[in-house]
Amino acid sequence: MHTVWVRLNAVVFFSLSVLLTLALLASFTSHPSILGDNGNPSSPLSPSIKTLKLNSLRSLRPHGSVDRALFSLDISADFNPAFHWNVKQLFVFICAEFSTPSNPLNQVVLWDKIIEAKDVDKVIDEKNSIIKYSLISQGTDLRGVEVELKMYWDTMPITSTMSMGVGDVVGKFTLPNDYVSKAEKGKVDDKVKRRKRKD
Amino acid sequence: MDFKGMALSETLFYYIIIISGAIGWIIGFLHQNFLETFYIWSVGLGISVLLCVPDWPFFNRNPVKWLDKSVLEKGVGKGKVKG
Repeated sequence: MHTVWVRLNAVVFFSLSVLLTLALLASFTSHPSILGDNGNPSSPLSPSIKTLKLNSLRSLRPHGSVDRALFSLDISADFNPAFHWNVKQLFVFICAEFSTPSNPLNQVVLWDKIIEAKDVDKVIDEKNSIIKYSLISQGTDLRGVEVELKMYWDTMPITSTMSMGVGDVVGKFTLPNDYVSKAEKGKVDDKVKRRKRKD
Repeated sequence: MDFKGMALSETLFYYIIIISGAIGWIIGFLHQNFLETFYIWSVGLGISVLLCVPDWPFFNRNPVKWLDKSVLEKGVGKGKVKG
């Protein structure tokens, strides 16, 4: 403590130790036993997911040796309950899960979004939103497959360990037994409309 | 800075940083905003640097009393003194 530099060193590094302690205490407070678990013990601080379902299928086509499906989703979820003072951001993603003869469980991420703590609007409300990443299988085995849509979120804290939650709302649908391309589907829709007009 | 000044400086920054950190943590917890905790902690750090790092006059109120040269010249203990 006999020179300016020794004192500056002591002050700065002592204060950093104090900041570390504050951060550790903050991470303890985000434990579900303190903040509550919103009545869902398996995924603490879970957001409320209202809608997660298929809106319309755009296409199901073979691309070389793999099948590729493109469709739009209706998504509605409120992520406000998942935030507390030790959360920096959430990485929200929608995963399609299905089984094929070669793989009992396939998981494909179709859509994602980062919700930051500073964002004013932490509500996702999207109607007829086309998926960001198309549903691609490892083989030509997507026809007639039953797909389950699940919403996951990675909680990225300021200090603590990362955790992942999964919503209990599951969107289920079955892909058609034949390949569908956008143009053909349009024709089908037109035929249906014509029939309706005639009626 | 004299020896008592060093002790005073160290005690001062200990208390300033710990108290500002504790206040900041409580306010941050109540407002659910860790950034407020960080800002209040930063204010504590700033005050400590300004108050405890420079050699202010109030750290020099107990100057070290050195032995008088004449005491040394009389010869203390077994040591030989020239002259």
